[in-house]
Amino acid sequence: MTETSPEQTPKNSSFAFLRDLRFIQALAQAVFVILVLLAGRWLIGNLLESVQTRGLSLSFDFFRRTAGFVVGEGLPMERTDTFWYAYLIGLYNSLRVIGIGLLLATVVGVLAGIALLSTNWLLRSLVSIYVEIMRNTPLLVQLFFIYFGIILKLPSLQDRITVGAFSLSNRGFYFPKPIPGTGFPLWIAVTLAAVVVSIVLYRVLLNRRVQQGVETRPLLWSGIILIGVPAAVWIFTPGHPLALDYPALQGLRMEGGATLSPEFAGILVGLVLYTGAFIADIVRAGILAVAKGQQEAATALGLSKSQVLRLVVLPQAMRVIIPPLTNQFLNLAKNSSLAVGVGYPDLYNVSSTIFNQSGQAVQVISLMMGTYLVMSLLISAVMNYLNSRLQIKER
Amino acid sequence: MSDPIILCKDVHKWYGNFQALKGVSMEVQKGEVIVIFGPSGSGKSTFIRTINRLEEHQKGTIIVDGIELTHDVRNIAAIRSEIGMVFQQFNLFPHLSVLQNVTLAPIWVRKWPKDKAEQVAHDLLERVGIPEQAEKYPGQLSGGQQQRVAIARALAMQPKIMLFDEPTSALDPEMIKEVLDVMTELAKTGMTMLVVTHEMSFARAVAHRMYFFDAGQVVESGTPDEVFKNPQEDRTKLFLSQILTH
Amino acid sequence: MTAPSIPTTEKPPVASVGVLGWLRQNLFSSVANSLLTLISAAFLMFFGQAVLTWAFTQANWGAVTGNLQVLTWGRYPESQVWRLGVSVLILLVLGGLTWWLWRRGAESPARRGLLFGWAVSPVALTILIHGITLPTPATISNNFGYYLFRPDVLPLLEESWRGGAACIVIGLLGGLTWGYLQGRRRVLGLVACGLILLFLLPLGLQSEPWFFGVQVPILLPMAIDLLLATLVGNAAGRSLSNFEGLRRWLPWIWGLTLLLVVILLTTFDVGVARVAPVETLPIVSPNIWSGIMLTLLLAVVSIVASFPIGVLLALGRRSKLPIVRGFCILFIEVVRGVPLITILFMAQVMLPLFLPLEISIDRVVRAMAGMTLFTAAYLAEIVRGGLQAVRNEQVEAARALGLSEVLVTVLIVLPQALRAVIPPIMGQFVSIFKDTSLVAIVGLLDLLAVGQSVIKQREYLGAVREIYLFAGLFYFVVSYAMSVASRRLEVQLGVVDS
Repeated sequence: MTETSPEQTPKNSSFAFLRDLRFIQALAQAVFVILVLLAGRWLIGNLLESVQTRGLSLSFDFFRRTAGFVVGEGLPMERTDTFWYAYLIGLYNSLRVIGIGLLLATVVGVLAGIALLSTNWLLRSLVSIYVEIMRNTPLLVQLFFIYFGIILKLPSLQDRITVGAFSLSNRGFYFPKPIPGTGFPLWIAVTLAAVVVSIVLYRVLLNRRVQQGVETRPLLWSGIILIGVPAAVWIFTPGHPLALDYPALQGLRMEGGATLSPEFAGILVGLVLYTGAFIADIVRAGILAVAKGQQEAATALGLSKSQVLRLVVLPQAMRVIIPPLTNQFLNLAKNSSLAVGVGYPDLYNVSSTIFNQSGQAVQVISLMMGTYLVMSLLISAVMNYLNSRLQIKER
Repeated sequence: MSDPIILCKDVHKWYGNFQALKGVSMEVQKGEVIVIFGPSGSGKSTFIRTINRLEEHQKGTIIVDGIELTHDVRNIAAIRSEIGMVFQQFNLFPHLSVLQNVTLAPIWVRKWPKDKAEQVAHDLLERVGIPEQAEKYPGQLSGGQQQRVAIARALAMQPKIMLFDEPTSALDPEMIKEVLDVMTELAKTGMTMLVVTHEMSFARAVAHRMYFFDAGQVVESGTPDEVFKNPQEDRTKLFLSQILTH
Repeated sequence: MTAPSIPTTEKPPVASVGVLGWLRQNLFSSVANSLLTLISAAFLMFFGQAVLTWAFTQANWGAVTGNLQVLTWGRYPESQVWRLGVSVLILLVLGGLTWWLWRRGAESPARRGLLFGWAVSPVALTILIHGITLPTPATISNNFGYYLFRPDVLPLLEESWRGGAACIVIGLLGGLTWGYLQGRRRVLGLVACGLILLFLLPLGLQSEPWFFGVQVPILLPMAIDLLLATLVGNAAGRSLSNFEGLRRWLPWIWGLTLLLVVILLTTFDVGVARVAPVETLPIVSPNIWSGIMLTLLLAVVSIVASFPIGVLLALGRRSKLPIVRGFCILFIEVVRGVPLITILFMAQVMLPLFLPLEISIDRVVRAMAGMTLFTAAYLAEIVRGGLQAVRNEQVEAARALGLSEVLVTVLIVLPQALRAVIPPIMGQFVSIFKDTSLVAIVGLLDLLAVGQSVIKQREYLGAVREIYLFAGLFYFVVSYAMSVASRRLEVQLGVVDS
């Protein structure tokens, strides 16, 4: 048993401040900072030395130099264009894939998620096998399989599969390209106006029905406006708003029309199927998370099945779904960088080529990583905003 | 009269702009049992938690067994090793067995060999009445049993002072008595105890002095007889009437 | 009036139980459902038939079966492949024993042996897989002479760093002994260390360029290493001072450490064949490691190395010291915000730039570094979630008992935090295992890259699907097994915690 009497009190000597908690904390931080600075100095010193020895620099000026290579798709490019232009094309390509990919993956994911909850055993089993395969194999392997094993094994251009104006070959997917005619600006303006009007009309009519109890058929009227007005303008404008440019085989290439390159198709299909599987699981978990009692109460009140889903289950499920969904969206954006595996010139691919041509590692990598960081931050910010709008107010 | 084992002079504590303790002074002699009571939010728990530095006081002096409580880490460690604390929510470590809960601190802080620590632990578990639960995990025990383990865990460090922060408030009524019995027996062995509680029967039976806290201050203090039979302040009278007649 | 007869139990209608009933409920319960069933069945049959026909008639499975060896261990020399087998065996034995002991929950001495086995395994496995060069007795006697009689040669051979490294080891050992033992014994340890250090004194008196090119006597960096190592060893020794069992191990630790110091100091080649160190186990350079062997190695190393770093990052992120917290947050958010491929690219291309020109690290090691950092950041977020789940009262109770902050974290907070997040951690490990496939893009020869090279061979030119299906199957089997194991682990731990 320790006995301390007043004489044995720890002495308050002049060194007592060393044991002061605040001093210790400040010291710990100072030591940490010094270590980080020393390490940083050593690393930077080595970096400067290495850069000098290899005849490189640390400025970003080299981006204005001539690229000396051409980016395969996205925007037209000449060999004499700059590195910076090439980089922008890469960024554009990444955004294309990510944008379309997010949309399609969500659609696939929601459908698959609902299918996982279906009462049909066969459907459920097939979809869950799909999900398990996607989740347990690496995306890169899937991409290789899809691109090298399926797309590149499609029939050649000569033997392409044709359905009407659409054709599929191992050089791409060809379809007619809409070309705006003289009446196009007018038609677009009218269509946009019709969209806005139909949305506003829907809300007004819905509101009136709720307030006054009168059946105003909001869906019917807004539907008529949405579809009828653009159609009418289309039929009755003198100049054709849209013409179609049909692709045709000229020698060894397809001329005209629009193309979906095999590379783009490869990365898009791969990303959509992979991310869709994860989203399916999230959607399923989200819907299951809504207590069964909610559904039962809603049905007991007389709501139809679709009304129960739309008004009671989905809003509550969304709250559970959005955080992990954000994660999957971020993953899709980051996974788009695997496009290099199928030869699609996305941001990473182009940056890697720029590095190979210029040797300027530090600048290229910083720019590339910075761009991805900004993308991630933007996606997170948008999703967080959505999330906060959906939060249930609690005590 | 020897020096008090706990001396608090004009202790103030702020949480941001809110002042939780407004100049509390108290002297506790060795072997005394002090009961602290008052309405919730009155600062009673905050006060006893400042004594073993779970909360930091911004103004005033606290001296425990001759050691002043300052930012000095050695002082803090020395004071904490002399004080044992029992919490309202027991706070047993769920990933360790009952025996391991009790022997953890003696082994790692006092650096006792394992056998000695386990021997002491078994003795203490016997003293609080649950020797057979040694190998069980806290989740398998009732509330009353868990609190008794918590008392044994605190006693294993052989403290000079025991602090109790509403030890029975989280217990089902039928288990309050078993814990109070242990505390009573502890008081009779001469342990210095500061107990924050609403159990007035305990206060009447064992306390040497009682302190009534309200709004961060000591409103009144005295022996149980004085406080129960002859409360001076109106607030004391009001509070006593609320808790003694229900 | 006659009493109503007791109704006999009847059998349910035929179409609602048994096979028919199941079919009706699950496949044909409504018109829409039946339609779905028919569509799904049609899809399944069309697709299944196409796949099966291909698999059995057109596929060239020889691409897989003929190349199994190169797919599994790549270019690892055939004569040395037995070393890989032994490594796998060691891991299986250790793993199996751990699982078995865990199930029995015994506090047996076997636990100590197992712990020792796991602690030693990284070193043992590295030696097995990489190979090792050891000094012969002739090497030892020859090279020791340099330290005593010709210390000036050592800086010229660029081997003077061995002095500093030896000081670190000796410092750790001496500090540990001083902190752990009491009285006369520890003075003995100190004296022994002193004698060894005396031996290094001639080397210390040589000078070589240090920070900023300034010429300093090697004694200076050696002394700093020694001091720091001693402090660390001392702290370790003191905190372990009530582990009685360590006392028995101490002579063994001394013996092994001295052996290590001898090897460390004498394993360099002076150009004379007779006294050169020999490749006791032939060295297989990391850039030859390829195939499934590389995939597994990358995954295991990333998982094991990222764990302590991830935990430290998570603790640092919750620290009250703002600079530490800011640093950790910055690191975690940056690493998590960029694709893994950019981190691997950075590791391959930028890492050498940050190191002194004389040091070169192998591409495989660079990839390991990249994957470890990546995993550590994700682990840090997972562990942070676990740390938040530990109630603050637990920390208070531990502090009230007098435990120091370090002990509170190690004994109370971390066990509870980690236990709470085992499922997500296991999920992350599965993810890392799959992510090792990305090294194929930065030029390492993992399973995927070896597969690609097989496809380029003339005889297997078109066997794309076969190879990638094989790779996919491999990943699937291992990932699925890991997921199943993780779920069983959850269940088991759930039982213990109740």
